[in-house]
Amino acid sequence: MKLVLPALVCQAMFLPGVSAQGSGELRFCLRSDPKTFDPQLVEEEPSETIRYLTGGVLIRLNRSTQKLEPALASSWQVSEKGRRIDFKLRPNLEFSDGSPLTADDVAWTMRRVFDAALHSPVGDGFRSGPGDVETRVTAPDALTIRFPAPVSALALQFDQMAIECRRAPKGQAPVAGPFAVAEYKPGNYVLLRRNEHYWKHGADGRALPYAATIRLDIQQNRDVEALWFRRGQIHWIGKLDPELYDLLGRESPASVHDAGPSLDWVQLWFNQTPSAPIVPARKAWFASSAFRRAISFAINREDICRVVYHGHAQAAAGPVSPSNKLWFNAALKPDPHSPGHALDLLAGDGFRKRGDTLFDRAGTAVEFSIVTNSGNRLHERMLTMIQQDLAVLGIRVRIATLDFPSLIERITRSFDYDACLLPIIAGIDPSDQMNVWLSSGAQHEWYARQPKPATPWEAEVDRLMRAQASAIDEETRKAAWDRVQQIVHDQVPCIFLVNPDAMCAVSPKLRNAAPALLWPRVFWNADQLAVSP
Amino acid sequence: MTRAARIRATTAREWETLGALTARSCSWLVNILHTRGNRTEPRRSRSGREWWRRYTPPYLPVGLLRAVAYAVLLLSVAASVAPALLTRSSYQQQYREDINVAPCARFPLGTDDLGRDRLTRLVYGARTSLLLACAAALLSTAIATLVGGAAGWIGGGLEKAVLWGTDLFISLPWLFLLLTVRALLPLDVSPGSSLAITFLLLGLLGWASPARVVRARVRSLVASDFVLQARACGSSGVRLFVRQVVPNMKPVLLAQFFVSLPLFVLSEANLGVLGLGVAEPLPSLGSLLRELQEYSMLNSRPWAILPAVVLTCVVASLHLVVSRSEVQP
Amino acid sequence: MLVLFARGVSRILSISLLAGLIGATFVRLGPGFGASVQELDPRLSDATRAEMQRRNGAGGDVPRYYAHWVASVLRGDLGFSPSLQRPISELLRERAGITAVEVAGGTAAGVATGFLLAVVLLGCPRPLASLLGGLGSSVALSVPAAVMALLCLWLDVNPVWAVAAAVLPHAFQYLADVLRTSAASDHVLAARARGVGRFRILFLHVVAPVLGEVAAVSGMAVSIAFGASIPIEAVCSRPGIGQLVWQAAMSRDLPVLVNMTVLIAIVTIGANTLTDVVVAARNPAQGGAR
Repeated sequence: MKLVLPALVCQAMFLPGVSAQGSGELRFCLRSDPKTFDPQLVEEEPSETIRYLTGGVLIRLNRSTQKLEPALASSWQVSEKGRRIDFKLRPNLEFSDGSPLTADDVAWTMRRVFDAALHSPVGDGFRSGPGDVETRVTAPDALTIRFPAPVSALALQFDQMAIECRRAPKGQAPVAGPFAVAEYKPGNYVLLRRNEHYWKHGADGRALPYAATIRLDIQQNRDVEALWFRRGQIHWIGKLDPELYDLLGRESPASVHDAGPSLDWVQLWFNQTPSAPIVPARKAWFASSAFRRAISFAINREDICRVVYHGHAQAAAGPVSPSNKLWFNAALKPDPHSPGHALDLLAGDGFRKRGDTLFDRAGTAVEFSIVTNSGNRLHERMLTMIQQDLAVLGIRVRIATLDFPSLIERITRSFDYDACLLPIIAGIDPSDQMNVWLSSGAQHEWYARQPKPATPWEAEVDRLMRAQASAIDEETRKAAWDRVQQIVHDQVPCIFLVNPDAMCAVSPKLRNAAPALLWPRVFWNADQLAVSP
Repeated sequence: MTRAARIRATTAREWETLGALTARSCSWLVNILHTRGNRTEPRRSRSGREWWRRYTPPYLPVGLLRAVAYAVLLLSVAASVAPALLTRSSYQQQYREDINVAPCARFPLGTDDLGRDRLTRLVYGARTSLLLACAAALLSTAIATLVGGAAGWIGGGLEKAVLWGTDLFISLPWLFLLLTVRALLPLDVSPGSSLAITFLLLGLLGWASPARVVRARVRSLVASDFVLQARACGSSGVRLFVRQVVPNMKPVLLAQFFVSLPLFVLSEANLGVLGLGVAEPLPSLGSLLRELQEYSMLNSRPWAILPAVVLTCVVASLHLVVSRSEVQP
Repeated sequence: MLVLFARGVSRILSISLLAGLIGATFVRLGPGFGASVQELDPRLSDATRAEMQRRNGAGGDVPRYYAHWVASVLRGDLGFSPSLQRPISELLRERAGITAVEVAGGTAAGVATGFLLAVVLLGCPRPLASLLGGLGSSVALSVPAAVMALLCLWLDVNPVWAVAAAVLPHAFQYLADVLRTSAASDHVLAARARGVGRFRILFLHVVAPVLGEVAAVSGMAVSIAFGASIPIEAVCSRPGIGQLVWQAAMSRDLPVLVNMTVLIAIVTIGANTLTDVVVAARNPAQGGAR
C-alpha cells in the first residue's frame, strides 16, 4: 500500500499528455456513405477515406514532406526501368485479427488488383501495357513483382494499394491499417476502432494509433458541418469553402489553416470535337488558338481569386500547381487581364467589334454558352464574372448549369455543348494526367478519344507524355513534362483559371495535427492524432 | 346589418385619419383605466366578441394594415411593370471593389457576393418571380378547378377516372420530366425564356393535389341545401354549377392560389440546384432565396433574409386584400 | 365491404405499378442516365470506365427491365442499387421507419396544429383571424423547407417539426375556410337562437361536421409531407427515404427510383384513398367515387 500511491503519482507524472492511449474519439464528417469497403474497388472519396484509415500499404507517401516512406515494407528496390520492384517486409507483421501478414498476402492482393473481372481502379495505376503481372514470393517476408511494361512512378502507386488477407472470408476481412471498421450505420456514421496489432510505434515508443476510435458522421451539408465544428462535435473539416474559412477564421483564427494553392485547378475549355452538334461558326471560333488566347486574356483571374475565393486562390498558368514544386514549370506565368490585347488578337483573327457586339469574319455575332455543374456556388460566381469580362469584348455568354449526370452526358457522350468550366482534381505525378493529355485519352476534354492526333502540337504532346511515362530518372521526366506544360500554355486548348487554396479547419483540442497540402489534408497522420481531454 | 351595409361601414372606417385613430385609442385607454379603477359591481362573463371590443382599441387598425397591404402590392406592381421607377442601377453590374457591403447610402440593401446591388436584384427578381409565379398559380388553379370541379359535379365514372388520373399524376417523379425538358432546351436559351418555361411546367404539373381538394369541396356543395333548392327551382347543368357552386368554391380556390404562389417560387429555388430555373445574371426571388440555405452566412449578412420577407409580405398582402369582402366588423 | 377493400387495393396497386413504369421511362429517357461523376477521374482506364458505365446503365431496356423487376418483387427481391452498391430491400428496411415517423408525425402535427389554430381563430373577430392566419401562413409558405430544417438543427429540435411547418399552411388555409363556412351555416344560427352554449355550438355544430374535411386535407398533407421530407432529410442528414430518393435521383439509380416511385405512390394513393373512404362514410352523398 505504501508503494501504490507513489506509483500512481509517478505514473500520472510520466504519462504522456499527448497519447492518452485508450481514450479519445476523433470525429469528422464524410460527405456521403462509402459505396464500398473493398479497398480495391474504391472510386469515390468516402470509400477512399475508409481505405486510408484502415488499409495497410507497403509504401506510404508522407503528405507533409511529399516523400515516400516505408510502411509495411521496410525497404524496396525498383529495377528494370520500372518493370520490377522487390519488397522486403517488416518482421512480425499482423492483421487486425492477429493473423500474420506475409509476402503471400501481398502477392494475393497484387493478383486480385490485376484481376480483369474485378475492374479495380487501383489496378489502373499499374497498367502500362497489355499482359499479366508476375509475383514471386522469395521468402515469407520478401517478394518480387514484375510488370509487363515499365510503370512510371511505380513506388508511388503502392500508396493506393491496401494489403488484404488472403485467408479471410469475403466481408470479414481483417486489415493492416491503424484502424478497423467496427460499426457502420448507413446514412448515419461509420465507426472505426483502433487496430491493436498495428505495426507502427510513435516517437515515444508507444504503440499507435493514439486515438481509440474514429467516428465519421455522414453529413452532406457544409453549413451543418461547420455548425458541428463550431459546437465542438467534430474535430476537423478537411475541405473548407472560402466563405466558411473566413467565418470560422473570424471566430477562431487558430482553428483554420490555409496550406496555399492546392494541386487542383479550375479550367474552361471549348468544344473542339468535329462531330459535335454545335453551330459551324462556333466550331471555327473554338478551333482558333488566337480566339482561345484572346478569351484567356479577357478573363480577370485576379478578380476571380479576390471576389470568388476571397483571396484564397492563385491565378493558374498551366496544369500543374505551383505547390507541386517538383513538377511545376516555373517559367510559365498566368495570362494577365488585358482586354485591349484580347481585342488585338481577335482583330488579327478577323473579328470586329461594332458597338457592343463582336462579329466574326462572316458577320455573325459572337455568342456561346458555358456549362458547369449546378449547385456549386463558386463555379456559378466564376462564370458570372467571366460573362461580364467577355461582355467587354462584345461577346455574349449564356450560362447554363446542369446537374452532374446531365453535364457528363453532354461533355463525354453527346458533345452537345459549347464550352465547359470544371475543376480538375490532380495527383502529384504527371502520369496521373495521361488520360488528359494523350490525344486518345478519354479525359482529353476538348476533343477526346482522337483516332490520331488532330494537330501537330497534340502529336508532340503524345510523344512527350509517353516519354515521361517510360523514363525512370526524374530529370528526363521533368524535361518532358515541362515541355508539355509549355506547349499547352502556348496552344491554350484549355484556359487555366485558378488554383484554389487547400483550406481546412482543425479544432484546438486536436493534438499532433499538421495539416498538409495533399489529401487527406488533416488526417494524413491519423495514427498520431489524439484529442485533448 | 346587410352585407352591403357592412362593407360600407368597413370602407368608411378605413378612410378615417390616423389622428382620429390615435385620439380614439387614447380615450379608450383612459376609459379602461378609469373603469378598472372604479369597478363597483362584480365581474361578469362576456362573450368573446364583446371582450374583444372592450379590451382592444376601438377597432383594430385593420384599415391601416390593409392600407399597408395595398402599398406593398402597389410596389410589387410597380416592380413588375416598371422596375426602373424603383431603382436606377443595373441588376448585373458588378462592383467588384464593393462585395458583400452592408446597407449604406449608395447601396440601400447592400451588395451581394459579386458586388451587385441587392435592392436592384430584389426589385427585378420580385418582378420576374411574382409575375411568373402568379401566372403559374392561376394556371394550376384553373386546371384544378376544371378537372376537380367537373369530377365533383358530374360524379360517377368521370369522378372515378379523374381521381385515378390525379393519383397517378401525383405519384409520378416529375423531376425527371423537368430534367428532360431542360436537356431538350438549347443551352443558349435566354434566361427569361428558361425561367418562363420552368414556371409553365410547374403550373402544368401542380394542379393534381388542388384538384382533389376542389373535388371534395364540390362534392360537399352538391349535397348542400341551397343547391337542392336551386334544382327545385329549375336550375340545372352548367348554369347551376356556375351560378351556385363556383361562387362557393371561391374560398377553396383562393386558398389554393395563395398556397401555390410561394410554393412555385420556392420550387423554382429548389430546381435551381438542378440547373433548372433562372440563369445568371437574371435574378429571381427563388435564386435570392437560395442564399438562405447558407445559413452560416446570415450571421454576417442578416439583410440577406429580405427576399423571404418580401415574398411573405406580398403573399400576406394579397391574402389580406383579396379576402376583404369576407371581413366583418 | 370485402369487395370495397379489394377494389381499393387493386386501385392502389394498378396506379402504383403504372407510376413505376412511367417513372422508369422518365429516368431512362432523361439526360445523364448511366453517367456518374467518377467517370471524370483521369486515372481510370477505359476498361474500368466502361465497366462503370455498364453498371450504372443497368436496366436500359425499360419494358424488359420493368417486367423483370415486377417478377423479382413477387419473389421478394427488390433489386440492387448500382450507386449505393447494396440490396434495395436492405436500404428500405433501414430507412423506411425514419421517414414513416417524419411523414406521419409531420402530417399529424401540421394538420392538428392547423386545425387547432383555425378553431382558436374562429373565436376571434374575423379581421384579426384573417390577419393572423394570413400572416402565419405566408411566413410558413415563404420559408424554404431546407431553411426550416436548418432552423431545426440550429435549435436542436426534431426535424418532424420542419415537416409539420411545411404541412401547416396548407392545412390551416383550407380548414380555416371550411370552419368559417360551417360557422356561418343556418343550423348554427338556429342553435344560437335557441340559446345553445358557445362551446357546445363550436364543437358539436361547427367542428364536428367538418371532421371529414380534416381527413380530406390529411390525405393531401401526406404527399406534401413526403415532398418536404426530401430536402429536410438531405439537410439534416437523416437517413430516410427522402435522402435515398434525392441521392438516387442525382445518380440516376434506376432500380432505387423505380422502387421508391412505387412505394411513394402506394403511400400517397393509400392516404388519399383512405381520405375518400372517410369522407364517403361521413357523407354518403359525397361518396359517389367509391
